Amino acid sequence: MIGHGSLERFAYIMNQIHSFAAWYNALVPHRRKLLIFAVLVLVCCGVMLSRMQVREDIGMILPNNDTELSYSLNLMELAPFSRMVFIQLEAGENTSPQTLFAAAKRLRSALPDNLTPCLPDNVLPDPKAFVRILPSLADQAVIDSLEKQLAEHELDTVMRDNYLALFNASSFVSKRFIQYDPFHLLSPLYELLRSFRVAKDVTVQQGVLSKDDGRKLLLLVKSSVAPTDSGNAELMLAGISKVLGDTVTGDISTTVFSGHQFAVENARTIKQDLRVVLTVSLVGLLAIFFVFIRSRDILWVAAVPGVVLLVASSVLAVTQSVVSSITLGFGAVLLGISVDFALHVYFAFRYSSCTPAKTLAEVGRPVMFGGITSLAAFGALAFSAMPGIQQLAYFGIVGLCCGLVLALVILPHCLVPCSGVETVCSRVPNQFGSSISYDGEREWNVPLCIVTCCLLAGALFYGGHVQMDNKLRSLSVFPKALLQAENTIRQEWGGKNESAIFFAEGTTQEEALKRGEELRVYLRKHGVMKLAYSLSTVLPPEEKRAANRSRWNSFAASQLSAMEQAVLHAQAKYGFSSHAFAPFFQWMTISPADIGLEDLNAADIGGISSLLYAEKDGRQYVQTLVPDLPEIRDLARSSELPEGIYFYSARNLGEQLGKAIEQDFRLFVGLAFASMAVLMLLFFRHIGLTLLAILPLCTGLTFLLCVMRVTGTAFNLFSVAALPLIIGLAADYGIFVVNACKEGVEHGTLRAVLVSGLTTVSGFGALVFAEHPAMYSLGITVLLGVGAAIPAALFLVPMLYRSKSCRSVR
Amino acid sequence: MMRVILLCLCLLFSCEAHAYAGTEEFLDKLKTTMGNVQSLKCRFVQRKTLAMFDDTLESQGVLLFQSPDRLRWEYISPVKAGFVVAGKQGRRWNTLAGTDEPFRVADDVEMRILTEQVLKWTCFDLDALREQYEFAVASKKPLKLVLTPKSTVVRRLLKELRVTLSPAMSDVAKLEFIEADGDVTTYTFFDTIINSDIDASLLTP
Repeated sequence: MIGHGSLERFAYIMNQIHSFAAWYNALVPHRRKLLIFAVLVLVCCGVMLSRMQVREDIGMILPNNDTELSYSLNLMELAPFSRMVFIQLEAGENTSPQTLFAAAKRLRSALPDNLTPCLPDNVLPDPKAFVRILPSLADQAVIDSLEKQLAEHELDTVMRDNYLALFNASSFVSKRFIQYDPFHLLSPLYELLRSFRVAKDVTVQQGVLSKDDGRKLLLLVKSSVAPTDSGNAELMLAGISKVLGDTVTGDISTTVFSGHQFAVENARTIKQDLRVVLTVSLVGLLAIFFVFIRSRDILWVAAVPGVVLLVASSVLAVTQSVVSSITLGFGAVLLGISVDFALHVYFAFRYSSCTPAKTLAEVGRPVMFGGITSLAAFGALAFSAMPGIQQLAYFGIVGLCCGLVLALVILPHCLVPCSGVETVCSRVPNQFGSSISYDGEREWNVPLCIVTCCLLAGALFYGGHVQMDNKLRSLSVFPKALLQAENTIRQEWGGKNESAIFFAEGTTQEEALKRGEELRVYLRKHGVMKLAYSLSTVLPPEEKRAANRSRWNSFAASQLSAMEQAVLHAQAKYGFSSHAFAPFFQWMTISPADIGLEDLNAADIGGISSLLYAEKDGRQYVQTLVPDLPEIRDLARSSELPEGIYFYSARNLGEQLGKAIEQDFRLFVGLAFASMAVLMLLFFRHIGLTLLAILPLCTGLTFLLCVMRVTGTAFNLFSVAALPLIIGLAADYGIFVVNACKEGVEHGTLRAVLVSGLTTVSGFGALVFAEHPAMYSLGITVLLGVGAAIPAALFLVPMLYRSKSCRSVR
Repeated sequence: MMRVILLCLCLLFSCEAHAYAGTEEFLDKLKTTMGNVQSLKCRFVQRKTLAMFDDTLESQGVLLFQSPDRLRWEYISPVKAGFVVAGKQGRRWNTLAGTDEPFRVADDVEMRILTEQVLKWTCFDLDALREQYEFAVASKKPLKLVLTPKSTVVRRLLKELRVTLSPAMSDVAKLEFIEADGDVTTYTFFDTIINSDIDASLLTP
């Protein structure tokens, strides 16, 4: 069936495998030393483990072949709303807007220390700070607008209106503005600031957003707690709830929304799920062990996954600078597969009448090959474009190697064999009735083979159209109440569309501002600047600010004389004092100074700079918020996009993730199948037996695909990551059962396959009770895949390659 | 400004009273009696002493209020001007400027501040007021209250309010509005009528 060269190499491997007996015998006198050595290794691993740095980083699950996307994602924590908490208060029928506002003010002043209101608590803006800003923003459009305004309104009329305004009861509000700006030169600046309003009907009062005539209020609060820090986020949210309870009473409904809630909800769900899953799983495992094992030796078997996890984690800790929590979480679950090797060895020792050395020699071969196929399945993960999945591959490979060593080298010396007497291995009856026999010669059940192939082909054709879920939100818990809160805030306070962000990066503030300005020009050129909110609007780069100030000086010089005349005339007519407009003339006559972020803050428009400017790792970022629309995503992808601009869009990210998952899915399945086929061919040296051994794997995957298609479930990151487990386990079952059929030596194989299958189903099947989509996806994928592979291995394989005696009996 | 005026009016009808009681007791009494004010009419004289003018500006006018949210503030001389607010909508006029225009309260900072304060005082939301002001009785004969803003931001505009009642405790004798820069506005109220019918057209924008 295969070439001579391959046969020779394979024979060499087989000899090595058969030397398990020699290894066993050699180690028998040194059992104590072996165990001490194993314990010392574990202690070393424990020490190495203390160096591990675990990070919860979504970047680990993103394709690393798109560096720009990964970089943009790293900037996500700087995004304006990433640490924001939105608190909406809505007045009921019996609550007046005044009462509601008072409650909002009480709430604002009582917020915990780790929460800072984003908008300044001002009654009125300061005109002195505004007049400082205007010259630096006086581009040609501003100057044109002012010249038009001055030409359209008689200066004498403007001064009369000032007099009337000061005459009014409300003059305490307008007085300072009239002193600093009697001719309304600040109008273009107000217009500019109005462009930051997200909705027309929203106003700002003392740091609180208001709409519906004050019946709905919104507090924007920035938190010092990272949105992924579920522990501190929970404390923070509890603090908000307490403050709400203390300050907001009566007929006022409240809505709180922040990204922190999702982190807390996910953590809570996982904790709750773990309680349920572990309980169900434990009950299942106890039942399995009680029915099938009932021996103290099982403690050694049960210790294998824990030891494997410790060793694999410590190797990662030493070799990787940072370990993804995804790798650890999933790896720990996937490495449960290592218990299967130990179970096979355990059952072989328990049911074999051979000497331990011979038993190990016979069971070692399929276990070794089962391990190699599992290694191949995990090895396929190393070709993923996602760093987290690659890390998972290394983790799995190390763990599986460790599991094999434990099962084949250490464990046999811990187990008590059923017979210590050297005897010839006997054929023992299996536990599944006479229809599946290991005795005598075997033959192919051709009609059943054809039916099976047809069924599998049909099912594969049907199930091959399963969709890929590329939504990031599918990876976490999104409770309805939270989504509703998010929707409420979004609908009420602007932004029906999700936002995307452009980050203009610079090593200095000026460089970032310059790039921000280039982006502004780029977006304006493509007609989307009107949809954007950018710091560049109120803080252009230094070069432009200087040009604006120069332009302003010319404008001021040209208009000053006429304004002085108008003021003199008003003094005579309305009785203004000689120093009434001193602040204005001082502003108009001195050379304006440059401005920076601190001047925006002084003008009480600090809300804008605190939201749209950030620093990270010594780099400065000017941010521009835009709607997450297809045309804007196209602009972000264009080669014309100015240098130093990074773009983040959740939809973009989802598309990339979806592609990566789809590619990985094809890659895993393709590579895993190919490597399975090659390995099994080497092992069985027979195409028919190889196909037979792959049958449980095919059945498991096909069944999984069909059920997903029927139920409309799509593949997500977690179900793809679970594939190696299905592939590895199902291939192992095939190898064990076909090997038992071929060799005619059962050694508890069926029982081992059944028990290892049941433990897997019990462990992973319990995950279907989980609410968290990650756990549920993993659980349902493995449950369906392995659940179908077990009966295929136990029943279908022996029936397809049946004993001749069985047929004659029938 | 309006809050001061209404405070004075409130004082006018609550001084039954416990004018000589402690500040807290006096305020609690005010809170109870204020609920009875459904409508109000009065005339006033306004005197403004502002640094921007060489002379004091004097004017006369009329104030109308109808619970819960209607208000008319009208100058009769030397210029006919003023505004009327009903809930969310308002109208203001000035015969000298030849203007007469509607406005939305929420869109106009000046009007918003005025009307909010008026409603706060009309309802006498003592809890909210105490959050904003420190109350003190400066003298008992005549009764004089001094209100100091708690917020440093508000103190940038308003240093304090001084409310003086007449010796008979039947009306407000003098109201002083002391701004942070030293400017002073004084109001005197007279011919006040409480809970009488007011022509609805006068309170319609």
